[in-house]
Amino acid sequence: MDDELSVEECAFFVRRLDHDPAAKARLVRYARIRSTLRGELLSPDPDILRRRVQQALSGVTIPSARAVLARKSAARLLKPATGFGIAAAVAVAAVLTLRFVSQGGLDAEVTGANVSMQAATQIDAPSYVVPQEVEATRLVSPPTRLANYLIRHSEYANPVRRTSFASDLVGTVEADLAAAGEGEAQ
Amino acid sequence: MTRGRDGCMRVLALVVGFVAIEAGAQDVRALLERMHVAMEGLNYEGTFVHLHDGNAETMHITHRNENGRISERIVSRDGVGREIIRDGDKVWCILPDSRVVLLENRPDANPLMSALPSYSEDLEPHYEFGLRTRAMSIAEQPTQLVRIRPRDEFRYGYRLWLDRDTAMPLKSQLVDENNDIVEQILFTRFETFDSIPAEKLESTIDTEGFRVVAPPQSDSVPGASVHWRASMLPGGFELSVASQGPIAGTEHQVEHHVYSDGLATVSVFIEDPQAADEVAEGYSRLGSTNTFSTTVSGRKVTAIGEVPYKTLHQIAISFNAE
Repeated sequence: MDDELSVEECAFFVRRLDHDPAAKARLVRYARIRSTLRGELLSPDPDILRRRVQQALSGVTIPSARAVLARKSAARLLKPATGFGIAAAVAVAAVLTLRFVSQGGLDAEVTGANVSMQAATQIDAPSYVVPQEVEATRLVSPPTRLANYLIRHSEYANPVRRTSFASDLVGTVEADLAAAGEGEAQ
Repeated sequence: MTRGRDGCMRVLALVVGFVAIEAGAQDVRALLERMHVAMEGLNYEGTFVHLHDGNAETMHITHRNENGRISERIVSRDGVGREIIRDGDKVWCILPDSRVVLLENRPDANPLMSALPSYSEDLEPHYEFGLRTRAMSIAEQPTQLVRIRPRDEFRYGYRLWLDRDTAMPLKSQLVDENNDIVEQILFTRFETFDSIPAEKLESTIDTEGFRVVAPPQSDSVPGASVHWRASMLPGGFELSVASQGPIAGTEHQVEHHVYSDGLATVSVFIEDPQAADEVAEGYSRLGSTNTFSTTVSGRKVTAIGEVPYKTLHQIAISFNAE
């Protein structure tokens, strides 16, 4: 056992066990105890033997083989799940931030608090989430008077251009238009 | 000898083919008339991409002609879903991000009766027309390509891929004098219908609590009390419409002049500078549309149109009171 005995001693020990059933039974019990302590699967139910051994060893907790396997399986699943969760959280944060920034038009009707919040978001948004280009083409409300002019003008345009004018009005307006509406002469 | 005859036949075939695909300007103008009627008269729905200045936006259009009453709804599929709805004599522009509804009266309830554009032979000194009858398919529809090139730097040209059956422009490009694309509209889906239910023209945005910017009750009167005139117009541009009246969002009187060369149009708005103080002086751009604003004799003069800046500038600074 565990290479503690020489070959001759092992041969003598085996012969002794063949003629001493009590010693053989004791050895089997010790072997089961060893297997249980090592967490090896035993038949028919290692948990029964584990509980017995645990009681015998005065309450030292020994994990069951099933629990060990379950924990190993859970650990194997937990790693990719954790990675996926982190990736999903980053993606959701990026989408929400992009959406929030893209909807942050410089409209005069927006309340001060709202404007402050948008400004803070645009400044504090982490650069690895929000591409810099978003700032340059963010959604800006057209100055009301220019929009009125465009609506009225579009009624006299050729139909191809009328569709374009409508798209200009409801689509993204470049940030420099807001500057135009704020009184910056070019 | 045989080789020489084959060569001649090939050259002849090329010439015949070229003549066949390059129709005359008259045919092109007739095709443009068909396009105009199709765009207003058909019932259709489609999705198109609007490209300009490196931006690409997806729009959905629903167009309805119910016994001559034209209704149209264009919704942005990107961003916050702004909408513009034309119905009868009204135009609504709904800006949910600003919580604003812009309402304007249409000058002509039936665009089919509109005088603009004309597509007459008067266009030919200023534009060069070409037609290629076998162009690529757009939105799975065979098309023919109409090319309209400006003959000077005061106007833009067009490339129009028209559906062979309906003459609807499934792809259009606005090009400058260098043949560079200023903007492009490309349908990715297009479908015509015998009729379209009215519900499809209704906005899905809840506008309760939105600020409505509407014109006062009095309507603009064409030709009434117009005191200003442009004294120096680029070749081909003529005064088409002039009116005076209030514009949405103000009680002040605004003069509105429309100049056209038959294809391109320029609107000039003249009003009190304080009433129009949100319009900055100088050049600006609204999507693919250019604007130029200046002060002339104490009045704010703003020119807007699908033409180069120099055209707007020339028209605007030539304004003076009669």
